[in-house]
Amino acid sequence: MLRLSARALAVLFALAAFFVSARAQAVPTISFPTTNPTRSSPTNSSYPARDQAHLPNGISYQDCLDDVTMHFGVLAQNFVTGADTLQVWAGPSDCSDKAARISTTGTCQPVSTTYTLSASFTVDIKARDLVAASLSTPAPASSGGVTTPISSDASVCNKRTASAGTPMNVNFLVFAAGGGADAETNLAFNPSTQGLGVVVDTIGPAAPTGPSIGIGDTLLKIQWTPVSNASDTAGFTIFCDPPPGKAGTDSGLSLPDGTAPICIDASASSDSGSAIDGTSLSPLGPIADAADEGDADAADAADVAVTPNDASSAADSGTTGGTCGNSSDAGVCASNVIQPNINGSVIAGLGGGYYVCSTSTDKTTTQATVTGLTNGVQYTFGVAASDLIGNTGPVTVFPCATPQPISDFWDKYKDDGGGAGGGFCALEAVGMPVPTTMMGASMLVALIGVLRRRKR
Amino acid sequence: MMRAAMKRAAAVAIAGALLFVANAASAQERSGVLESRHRKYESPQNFAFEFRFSPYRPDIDGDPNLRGATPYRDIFGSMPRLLIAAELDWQALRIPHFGTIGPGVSVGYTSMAAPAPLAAPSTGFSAENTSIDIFPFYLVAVARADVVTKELHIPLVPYAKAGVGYALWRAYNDGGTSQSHGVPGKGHTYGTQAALGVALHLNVFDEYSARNMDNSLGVNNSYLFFEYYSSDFTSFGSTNALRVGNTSWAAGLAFEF
Repeated sequence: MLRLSARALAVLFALAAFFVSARAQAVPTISFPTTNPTRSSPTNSSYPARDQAHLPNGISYQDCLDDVTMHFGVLAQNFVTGADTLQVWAGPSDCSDKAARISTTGTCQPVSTTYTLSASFTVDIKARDLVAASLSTPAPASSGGVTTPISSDASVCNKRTASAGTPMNVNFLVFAAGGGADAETNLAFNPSTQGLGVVVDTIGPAAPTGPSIGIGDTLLKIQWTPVSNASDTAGFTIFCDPPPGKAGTDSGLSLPDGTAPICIDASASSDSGSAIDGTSLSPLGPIADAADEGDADAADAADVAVTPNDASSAADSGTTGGTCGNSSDAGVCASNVIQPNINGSVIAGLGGGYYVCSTSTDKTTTQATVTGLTNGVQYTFGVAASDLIGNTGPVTVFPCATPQPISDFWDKYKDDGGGAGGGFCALEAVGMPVPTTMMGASMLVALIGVLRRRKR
Repeated sequence: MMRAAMKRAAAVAIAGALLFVANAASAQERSGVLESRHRKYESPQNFAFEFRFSPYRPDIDGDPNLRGATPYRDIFGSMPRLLIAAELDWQALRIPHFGTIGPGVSVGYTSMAAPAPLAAPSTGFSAENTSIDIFPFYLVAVARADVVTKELHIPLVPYAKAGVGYALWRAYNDGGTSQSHGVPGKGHTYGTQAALGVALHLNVFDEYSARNMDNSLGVNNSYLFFEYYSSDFTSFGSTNALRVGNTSWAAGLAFEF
C-alpha cells in the first residue's frame, strides 16, 4: 500500500514537473501588424488611414480632436486561456521596462483596457490616450510610483505645447496568469519586441516670420518668411477675421478654454519628430513695416499702409527662444481667435474652418492675396505653416489692415478726361497666353516655310 | 634639226594650251561662273522673318482730351518698356536691280506695371499693381533693297515699311480689368505704321556657315537690323482712342528663307 502510494506520489510529481516545465517553455506570444492599423472615430467607422509615407502611426491634432481609435488585430499563441492577459502601455521610454511603468521616474501609462488572450482578438488604442501619455510626467514619490493617467477627454488635444513630435513607445505587454495586483512581477516574457513606434504630433511647424501686409481695393496682400529649418513644412494656412463676406457678423466662436500660446522653447523642433536646436530657429521679429503707414514711397508699396492703431502693439506679439507671444496683444486687432502663437489647428478647427481664408500646399509660398474683402473694415490676418501629418502650426499674426479703394491708371486716365475704353479686347476674352500663341503661330508659319524650302 | 624644232614648238604649243585652259578656268572661277553654278543650288527665297525688340512708351499722354494731363507718366513714369515682336514678310515680288517687295504682318507684346496709389483722401501707394498690356499688330508693305548687297557688294540692305496698325490693350489691377466711371479699361486702337531701317548682311562675316545654314535650314540670308518706326495708333484722330502707339527705334535679327 505504501509502495503504491510512493509510486503514485512519484507519478504525481513527475506529472507536476512535466506541466510546470511545459508551462515554463510554452511562453505566450503575440503578433500583430505594426503599421497601417484600421482607424475609426465615434462618427466615422472607416476613418481615413494615415499616410503611410509619413509618420504612418502618427497622431495628429485632428486625430485627437476626432477621437480616433486605432485597431490592431492580434494573434496569440501558447497562452493560458482565461488567465494570460495583455495590456498596452505607452510612453517616451521603453515601457517593457517595469521601471518605466511603476517608479518615480517612469512616464509610461496604460493606453488600453486589459485583454484576456485569445487566439485572435482586436486591441483598440485611442489617439487621445496616446496624446495623454505623451504628456505624462514621472509619478511623485507619494504615489507609490504609479503614474496617474492624464484625463484623455477632448481637452487633452490642446494641452501639448511642444512643436516637436514626441516619439512614443507603444508596448503590447502580455502578463502571465496569477500575477494578481502586481501583474508586472509575473511578466511572462521580454515584450520589447512586441512594440511599435508612434509619434504624437499635434502641433505644426514653427510659425513663419517677417509678416507684412499690403492694402488693396477689397483685398489685402500678405507676405511672410517661412522658418528655414522647418523641414516638415508642407504648406501654409491663412486665417482672417472676419472672413471674406462676413464683415459685421459675429461668428460667436472663440478659442477653447485653456488654449494657450505655444511656447517654442530651446528644445523645439521642426515638427519632424527629430529634435532641432531651438536656438537656430529664426525668432519672430517685429511685424514688418508697422510704422510705415503713410509713406508714399512707391518702393514700399508691397508692405505699406497698415492701419495705425495697433501695429506697434502687435509687433511684440510673437517671439521665440522660450518666450510665448502675449495673446492679449492680438485683442487690439479685434480678433478673439487669431492670436499670436496659438495652435493653428485649433483655429482651423473652429466652426468647420470658419476663419480659414486660404490654404496653400506649396511650401515655398511666401505671399498670398485675399480677395473679396470689404473696404473700410479692419481685418486680422494670421498665417501658420502646416505639416505632412496635417497639423497647422503656431500662428503668426499680421498687423491689422483695412482694405481701401485705389486709384489705378485707368481711374486717373478717366478722371483726366480720357475717352477710351469699354471696347472689345479679344485678348482678355481668350486669356493671357495670346501673345505667346500668336508669336508661336508666326514662328510655326516660318518653320513650315523653312521645311518646305528644304524639301525642294 | 628640223624635227627637234618641231618637237620644241609642239611642246610650247601644248604648254601654252594647258596654260590657256588653266588660265581660262581660273578666270571663269574669278568671274563667278562657278559661283553662279553653285547658286543654282541655293534654296528659294520667298519670306523674311524678324525677331524685333524695341523700347516702348505709348503716347497715351498725347491725347488732346487730356488737356495736358499726363496720367501715363504719373503712374508709370517716363522709363520705356520693352516691346517684343515678330514679323513675317512675304517677298512676293522681286524687282531686278532693286530687291523685294511684299506684304508683312507683325504681332508684338509689351506691358507696364507700377504700384497703384491709394484713392484720395488717403495718400501713398497700395500693395496692388496697376498695369497695361498692349498687343500691337500691323500689316505693312515691305520693300527691301538688297541690290546694295547683291550688286554693289555692300553688306547693307536698306528697307522701308508702310501700312496700317492695330493694337489691343487692357488696363487692369490685382482685381482684374480696371473699371472707372462704369467704363472697363479695355479696347483697341488702330492707325498707321511706318518704318525705315537698314539691315546688316551677316552672311559676309562667315560665308561657309551661311551656306551651311542655307543647306540645312533653307535660310538664305541673316541680318542684324536697326530701324526707326512710328506706330501712330490714334484710330485716325478719334477722340475715344487710347493712344497706345509709339515712335521709337527697333532692332533685332532677320532671316530670309
